[in-house]
Formats: sequence, C-alpha cells, structure tokens
Amino acid sequence: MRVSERYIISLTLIYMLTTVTLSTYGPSGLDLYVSLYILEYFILTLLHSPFNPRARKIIDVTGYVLFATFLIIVALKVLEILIGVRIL
Amino acid sequence: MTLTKNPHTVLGLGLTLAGFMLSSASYLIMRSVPLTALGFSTVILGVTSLALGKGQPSSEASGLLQEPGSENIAKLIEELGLTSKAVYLPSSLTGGKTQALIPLHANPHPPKPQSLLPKRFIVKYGPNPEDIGLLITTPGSTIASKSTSKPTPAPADLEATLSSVLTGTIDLADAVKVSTTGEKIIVEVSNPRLKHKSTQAYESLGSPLASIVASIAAEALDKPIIIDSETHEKHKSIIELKPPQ
Repeated sequence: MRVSERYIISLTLIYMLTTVTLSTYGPSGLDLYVSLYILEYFILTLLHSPFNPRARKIIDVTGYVLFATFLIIVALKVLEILIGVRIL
Repeated sequence: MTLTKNPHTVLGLGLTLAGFMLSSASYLIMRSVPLTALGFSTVILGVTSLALGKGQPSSEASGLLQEPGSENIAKLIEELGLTSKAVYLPSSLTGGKTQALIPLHANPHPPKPQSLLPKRFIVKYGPNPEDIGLLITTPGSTIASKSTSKPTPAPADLEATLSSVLTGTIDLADAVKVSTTGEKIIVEVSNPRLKHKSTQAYESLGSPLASIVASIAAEALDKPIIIDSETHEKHKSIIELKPPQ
C-alpha cells in the first residue's frame, strides 16, 4: 500500500473513531470535535511525511488554515472564561 | 479532462463538496453537532486527498521522457562493449552533480579517483594510460542533486534521505531500510515501482533504482561507491553498495 493511501485510510479511520466516540459519550461541543480533528491531522501528517513537494505545499497550507482555526477556538474559549458568555 | 484520471483528485473533490454540504445543512438546518463535525472532517479528508492527487507524478509521462536518454546510454555501453561496473562519484569529485564513471578498460580493481575530474564525457582518472573512462549523468544524478538536505554517512541519516526521495519526492517505493556490514551498505527497498530489466547497461550501471540509491549514498559518504550486487524479488529489492577496493 502506498504511503498516500495509508495516510488517507488512517485519517478516515481516526476521524470515524473520534466522531463515534464523542457522539456516543455525552453531548460535546463542536469546538472539541474540531480541535481533536486538527490534532489528529497534524499527528498523522507527521507520521506519514515526507510527501511529494507538490502535495506538501497543499498539505502545509491546509495545516496553516487548521492551526488558525484551532487558535480561534482557543481564543473564543478564553473569551468565554473571561466574559462568561458562550460564543460558539 | 485530466482531473478524472486521478482517483485521489476525484475522491478529494467528492469528499470536499459532500462534506461542505453536510456540515452546512447540519449546522444551519438540523442543528446537529456530530453531523456538522462529520461534515468538517469530510472536508479535511477531501482537501488532503486533493493534495495527494496533485502530488502524484505522472509515471507514464516521466517514463516516456526518461526512456530515450536511458536507451542512448544503454546503446553506447553495449556498442563500446563496456563490462566494468560503474563507480558513482560524489559532487566533490565531479565538480557538479553526482555522476557515474565507467572505465573503458576492464580492470580487476575499480577506479578510485582522488582529485576533481574534468567536466567532460571522456575523462582520464588516473596516471596510467588505460585509466580512461566515461563520465555520465544517470537518473540518480539528477535526483541526488535535487535532494534538499545533505545526508551524513550515518545509516539512519542515509535511510531518512533515501526514504524522503524514494517514498516522498518520486514515490517509487513504500519503504527503505539501510544497514551496514563492514564496508558494505545494504539497502532494502520495499515494493519498488520500477520494472527491472536485465541488460548489459544495467550490468554496468545498475538498475535505475540502484543507480538512484548509489548516487545518494556516494553523495552522503562523499566517496566513490559501486553497486556490488542487487537482488529483485516480488515485493522487495536488495541493493548492496561498497566503496571500490
């Protein structure tokens, strides 16, 4: 099996497992799901590196976007603790 | 349309579109957090699949472009009746990129050039009149020169560089293992995607896969390297390299 195929299959399985586990065990916020997806994305990308330079460019850009999303989630959580109002 | 030819691209487009629609509908209409999350994860999978599709080299096109050059070198070697094993030289001995030196005269001891060779096709590499050889660029030369990091002689570093090139940059194999026994370097390549043909040129230069491995190893060790032997099994190729004695 090629590295790229193994990467996609691993990502699919871990996302499926995360979604099923979180939705089974009590109500969880969207932020928890998204944070875990982002964390898993970075771990699996690191484990399956290196990629072809052309693929790496897009994977890196996706990583930047996901990291920015993660930072927004953290910022909203901090605001929620400071102000006491749930934003997301 | 070329997009439909790549399964990764088709899968990526489908997943991105489906994921976007699912997450939008789940968030705005159904107000379901698990389904919105599922849509979001599908979008990530879609974009990743698109990236992997974009990165896959067209093996047909590159094969077609590489074939004439390889055929010409093979014909030249066969016509000249060269039987000596090629010596892969690092860039420090060629003054440019890693190249292969094929001695014109069969010699029990392969050449070990000590100083910088001239940038010519036919070169004199030693003090004796018969110390003449062909200095040629192989597929491995180009790939070794494009390698972003300069590997060190440690087997782990060499393995990392070979993995990066063979499984990442050119996607020709699934995994690479490097071990050393004395002066010998044993490289095990899992599931190589290059077909092996037994020709006279390959006897001298080694298969394209062995040529790539030898070029990178010569650059890493910064000394001449020859392909001692290569074994090709169904899912594995074992290439043994050693410095010329």
